[in-house]
Amino acid sequence: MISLIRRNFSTNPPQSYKIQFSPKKIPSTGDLCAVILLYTMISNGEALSDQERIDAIRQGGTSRDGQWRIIVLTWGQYCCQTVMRTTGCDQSLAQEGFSIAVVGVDKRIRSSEGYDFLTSATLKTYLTASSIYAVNRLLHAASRHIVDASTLAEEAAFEQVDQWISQDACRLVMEKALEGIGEKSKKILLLFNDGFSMKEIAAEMGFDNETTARKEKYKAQEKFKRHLADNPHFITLLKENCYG
Amino acid sequence: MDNYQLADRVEAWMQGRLTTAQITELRNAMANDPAMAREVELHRLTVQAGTFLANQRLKNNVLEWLQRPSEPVPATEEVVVNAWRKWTIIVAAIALLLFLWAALEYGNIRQEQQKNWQLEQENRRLQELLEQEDRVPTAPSVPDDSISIKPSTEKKSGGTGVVFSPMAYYVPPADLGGVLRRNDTAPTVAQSLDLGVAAFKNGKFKTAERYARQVLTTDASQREALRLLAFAQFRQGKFLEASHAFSGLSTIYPSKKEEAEWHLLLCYRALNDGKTAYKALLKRILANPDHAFYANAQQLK
Repeated sequence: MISLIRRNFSTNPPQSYKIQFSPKKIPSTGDLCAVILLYTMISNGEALSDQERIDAIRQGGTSRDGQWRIIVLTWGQYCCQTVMRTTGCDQSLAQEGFSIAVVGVDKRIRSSEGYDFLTSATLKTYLTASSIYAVNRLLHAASRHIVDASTLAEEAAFEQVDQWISQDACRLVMEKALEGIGEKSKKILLLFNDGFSMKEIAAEMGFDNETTARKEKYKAQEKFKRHLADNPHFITLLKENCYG
Repeated sequence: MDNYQLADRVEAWMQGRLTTAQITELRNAMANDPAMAREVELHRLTVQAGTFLANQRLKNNVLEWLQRPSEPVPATEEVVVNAWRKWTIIVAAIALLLFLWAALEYGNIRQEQQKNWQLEQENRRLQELLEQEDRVPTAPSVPDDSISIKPSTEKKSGGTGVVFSPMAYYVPPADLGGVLRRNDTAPTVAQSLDLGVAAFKNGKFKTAERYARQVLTTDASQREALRLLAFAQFRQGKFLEASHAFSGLSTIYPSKKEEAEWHLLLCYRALNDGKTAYKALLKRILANPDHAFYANAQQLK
């Protein structure tokens, strides 16, 4: 199998070297272990692990966007088909459920306990279970916890889904409230909350430097606050719908 | 605390980055200052608005990506990371295998080296023993032949399982190469035989064997050459070949028959083979008190 260079010592110190080919040599246990080790290492290197995906999402900004795009393009169809098969819903509802699940999982990942569900399931399984739960919630909006969570982590994910679905009114009010501050301020607020760094925000918005970006962020926040202060009914509505 | 600091503090609070003491401090400040409490409330709503926008954007993006399932997975950093990782792992694995292989080889080499060293030491010891035995003067067993014999020390010790040393009983040939037969005048034969005898006397038995073979190739009937060949092989420890030569010699060289028989006996003994032949030959020598090597054979009895 392999050629081995063996040194043939006729005396001490060594005087001659020769190469011996041993094509019929039976591979030893060490050889087999090495091959298995090599294969395992290489095959594990084919894709990012869940842990690495979560790390990328937690970084926020472009890294988070890119990672979710890869996840959706890789697993999206599988998850949606599983949801359709399980719940009997149509494709658009499955996609809606999946998108809600992604938002919920994203929130969960970016929280301080972002890694906890990896102890019980893979990210893909977690996403699929959350999607099924979301579709069931959309189909039977009145009832909660149609699918029993088998772990605490799933329970937490389903909570995120519940929260999203129950905040429809909040989102409508928020959308109305944000209309008053202009697209530029909305985009700054969005980028900031998407986890973009000041440097990235500066590059995206065309600001000179990070200090300007920081000032613009405060300006956008102040603008929204003043808009709310000038329209106190928004505050009332938001408090009612977003904080229960 | 200005508005910027307050905004940072509220964001930290909402992101869970404040300690319990800091939260308590902020709450106390809010309780004592209604304007600040209002400002905090507004900022909380602002942060919530940003979160809403971010979630909405992600959701819209997901729906958009799902509409384009045929789009290939982008070659983003994941692919680059994978490529780097893959090659790094391959290189590391190969390096690891090479290291293991080198370690194993090194171990084998050391073992082999040790073994060779021990063998060499053993060889040296045996060589010294042989030389020592050669140097011991031998007492003549037969008055008119100046042949001496020195029984081996092992034999004297009388212990069982002691290795038999034929050299201890070896009797150097007295007149090696002395008489040439007809055609002896051929220059190559005489010259080669002389050189062979000289080599033998100088202890170069291998050279002596070569010259003896050279002579026998030219003239196969040369008994002296056969005798030289037999003794040269005997001294090199080639007992099997020597036994053939001595056997032939005892047939074709009557005057040296007894000498050939004695050394043939030693060869048989050294080979530890053909015990029947050995015993028969020993018995034959012992049956003849006039045999030139009768006394020597007595010691082997």
